[in-house]
Amino acid sequence: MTVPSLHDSVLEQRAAIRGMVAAASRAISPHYPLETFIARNPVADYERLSFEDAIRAVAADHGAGLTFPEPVFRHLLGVGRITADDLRRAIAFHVAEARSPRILCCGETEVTVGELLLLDLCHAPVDASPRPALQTPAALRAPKAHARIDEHIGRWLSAAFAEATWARRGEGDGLWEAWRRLAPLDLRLLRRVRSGIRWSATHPEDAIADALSQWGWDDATATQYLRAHVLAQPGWTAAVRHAAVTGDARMSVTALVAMRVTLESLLLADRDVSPEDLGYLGPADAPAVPGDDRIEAVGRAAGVDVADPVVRQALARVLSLVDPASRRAIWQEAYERGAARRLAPAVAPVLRPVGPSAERPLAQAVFCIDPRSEGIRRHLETAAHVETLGFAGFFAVPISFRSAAGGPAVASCPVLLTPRRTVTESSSDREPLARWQQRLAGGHALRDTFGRVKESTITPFALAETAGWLMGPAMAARTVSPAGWRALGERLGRLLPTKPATRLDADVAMDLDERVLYAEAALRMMGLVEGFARLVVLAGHGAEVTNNPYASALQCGACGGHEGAPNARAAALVFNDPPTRTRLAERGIRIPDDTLFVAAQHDTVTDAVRLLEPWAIPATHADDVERLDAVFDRARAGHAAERLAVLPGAAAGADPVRETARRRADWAEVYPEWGLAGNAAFIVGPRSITAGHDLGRRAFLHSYDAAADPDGSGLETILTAPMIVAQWINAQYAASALSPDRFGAGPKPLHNVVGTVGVLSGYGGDLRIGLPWQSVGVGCELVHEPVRLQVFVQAPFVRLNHLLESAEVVRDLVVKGWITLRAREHDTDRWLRFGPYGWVEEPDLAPVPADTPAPTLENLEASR
Amino acid sequence: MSTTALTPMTKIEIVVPGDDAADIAELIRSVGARGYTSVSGVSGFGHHGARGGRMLFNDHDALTLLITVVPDHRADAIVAGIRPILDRTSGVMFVSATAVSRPDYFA
Repeated sequence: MTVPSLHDSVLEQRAAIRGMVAAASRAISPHYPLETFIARNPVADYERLSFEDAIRAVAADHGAGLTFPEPVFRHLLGVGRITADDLRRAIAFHVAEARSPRILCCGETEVTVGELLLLDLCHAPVDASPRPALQTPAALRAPKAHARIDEHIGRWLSAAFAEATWARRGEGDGLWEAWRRLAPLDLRLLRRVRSGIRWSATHPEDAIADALSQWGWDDATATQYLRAHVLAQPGWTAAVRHAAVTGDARMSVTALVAMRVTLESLLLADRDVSPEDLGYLGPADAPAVPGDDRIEAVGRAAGVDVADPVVRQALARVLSLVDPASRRAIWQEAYERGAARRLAPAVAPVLRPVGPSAERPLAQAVFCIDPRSEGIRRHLETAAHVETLGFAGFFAVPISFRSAAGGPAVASCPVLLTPRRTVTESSSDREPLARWQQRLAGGHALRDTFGRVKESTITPFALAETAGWLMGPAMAARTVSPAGWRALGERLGRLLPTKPATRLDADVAMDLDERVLYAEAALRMMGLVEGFARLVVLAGHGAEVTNNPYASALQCGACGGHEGAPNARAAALVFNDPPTRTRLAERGIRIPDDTLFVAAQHDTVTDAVRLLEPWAIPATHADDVERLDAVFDRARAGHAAERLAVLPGAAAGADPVRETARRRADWAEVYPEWGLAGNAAFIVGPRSITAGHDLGRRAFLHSYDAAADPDGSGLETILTAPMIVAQWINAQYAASALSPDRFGAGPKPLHNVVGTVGVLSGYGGDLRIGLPWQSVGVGCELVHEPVRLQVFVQAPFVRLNHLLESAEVVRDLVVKGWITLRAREHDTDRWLRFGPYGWVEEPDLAPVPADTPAPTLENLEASR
Repeated sequence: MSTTALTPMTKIEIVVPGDDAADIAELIRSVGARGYTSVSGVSGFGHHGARGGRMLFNDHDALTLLITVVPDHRADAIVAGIRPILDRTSGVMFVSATAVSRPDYFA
């Protein structure tokens, strides 16, 4: 790569600068705004590296860890969460030399490489937590100037994103143009700085080129310099990245970097700084030479004479096999083996009815693969003869949904996908619909006005001053009796025009070929091609919460951070569509005439499961629905009680239905539910291999039956789509748990919402990315276990091998160590793990008895 | 029409993961290219083994082929801008001579 000199064409130079910034900005993933919060690995770009290399690179660039620090791992070893055997196996997995039984002679003592490395992990002086290595010159030489740059940029972007009135004077301008025009009026800046901004280059790329030429960097250090500025405020960079790629023409990371480097040039006179001081030479690739203290600690633990030079040399050779990053990777592997052992489906024959088919179940209920579904499914199966299945909550209908309530269409599908069709909600009851829409319009206007005033950066102060006398009593009532306040609102709502029966136009928006394609894909992917019940419930999910900026983080990830109700309704319509059923029958899937698909929604806060279109239930199925409703209520009570046992602030003996309803309505509740905390596994196979096992809401469960998927395309779709979304979620939770200060959104009580773009912690600082602390921890203790996704697939190996060859996205995650893939062909087979040399058996992955109680999420003190 | 009556141009083809296509497309537009063609879901075999494949519900990781045709004097700028991105991601770029019948569409 070459940076064109100023003598090359201007056009070429600008393009090169833009390319360099685009490359640098990949160091932080785009940040989705609050209304469509999407869980994603904040350092997803590092997934092109092996996990071990990424540990080094993320430490060097971000000063953050992808694993616990070693003291925490040692604590986990001490309390038994990690076993010595797990650690031995992890060493052998990562270090080829440790697999050899060869004995080393250290004086009169005989030890193996594996034993020495085990002693090293347990006794050697621990390496310090990673420190930010990549710095801007201002951060190193003039921290006050650096803080001033950060403060100015944060203030400017808060205004730009929240569209404060004064910022709109530059409407139509890009970020750079508006800043050049308006920043010289900012009296908080020094006169010479204001003047410098006024006379800066008219193009942001030229301003960056000016800064690069001032520093005199070469190509490699110029790239690192830009990355340092990109990562100086990763939150704002991530927000600008997302805005730019989603069509906000005003925003560009190039402009953001130009603003930063221009301010730095104007505020920092000291140019005497070397790339080495700034950490621009990257992480060292060579294994660390073990120091004397490490050799002596291991030697003492091994009981060998460390004064003997030959012994010291032997120890040094062995200890040089692992550097700080590989030590962490080994610990992480050992840590994850415990989770895998706990969550692996048992190796045991699953009893199946033989002879005449068994009695038809009351219903089949298809829930989202979201780990929260695992609990409600378990309780539903206990409450009655109901079969449950798992499928991605968008139910294979990638749609934009336009609600009858008005407003723009929202993409209701995974962010991996572009919606294929727009589905609209409407009603044949024209007059009631018009009255309801008028009522909503009035409410919307009021809420819109109130919301705009509340979410702007300046007007909330005026709002509090003018409306406080009215809002004060209402606030008091909401605080004292949140459930009562909500009930009052609902009662008042019933006095006004209500929503009439509506339907979606999915059968019109999607042509027959599409409907058949998606319906067949869904049924084959989840293995539901025969034995249909009279009722098949498609249960999307959502979370009703109050006063929670991160509400969308609790919604359905497969529906782009929205509730799954529209997709459940659209999919039910498609499955009930006679022409679609006719074509499915031609393709070998015969849905009986008496099978009715119904849409439902599972509220993950209260565990209520309600049917979404009760008006569409025919008289022939009314009794079935009534019985099923009672079953849903029993399952709700059981699962809510189970969840409350591990939710902070729940009084012992509290009525689970009332308590969860309070959490839904309480605007001061920071723990309405645990979300996906604890997620650790992705299990692909028939429900029979996990039924009866309490997985503690820690596993994504995707139903799959190889026999229903003759060409393997269903498995390919599962591993290239739902599994990818699960890995995004898993990585997001891990990052927010391990580096809450850098990759987490901080404590909820301190949140200061900036428009809809995100939150600040208090008055200023960087925009917070990731999940709030209350999504992963309590007090100072961590609740979420940051383990990489443990994937278990029951499918023919020939299909998996073909998939690993053809699907790069899956192959990379597995081979580079970002997920762990285990597979077996039959339920009586042992799990094999895909490792560096192909599939290998793991004898220690013992089955867990079906009656094992739920694991309690460990409270681990993360030392930071 | 004989080929000698056509106007010489430069064709640039880039194959990148779908997630990177937006950055590349923005670069193409920013140097004054009049347009580009984007083909998603391409597959093939290369340096890192098989690429792409059937991904019914994943546009994000599907490979995208971007094709643009520009006058020769704009090609160097596009190449200069794209190279740093390709250094940081998996992708390939092909630059070749081509000819068009309506140069005003591309200039």
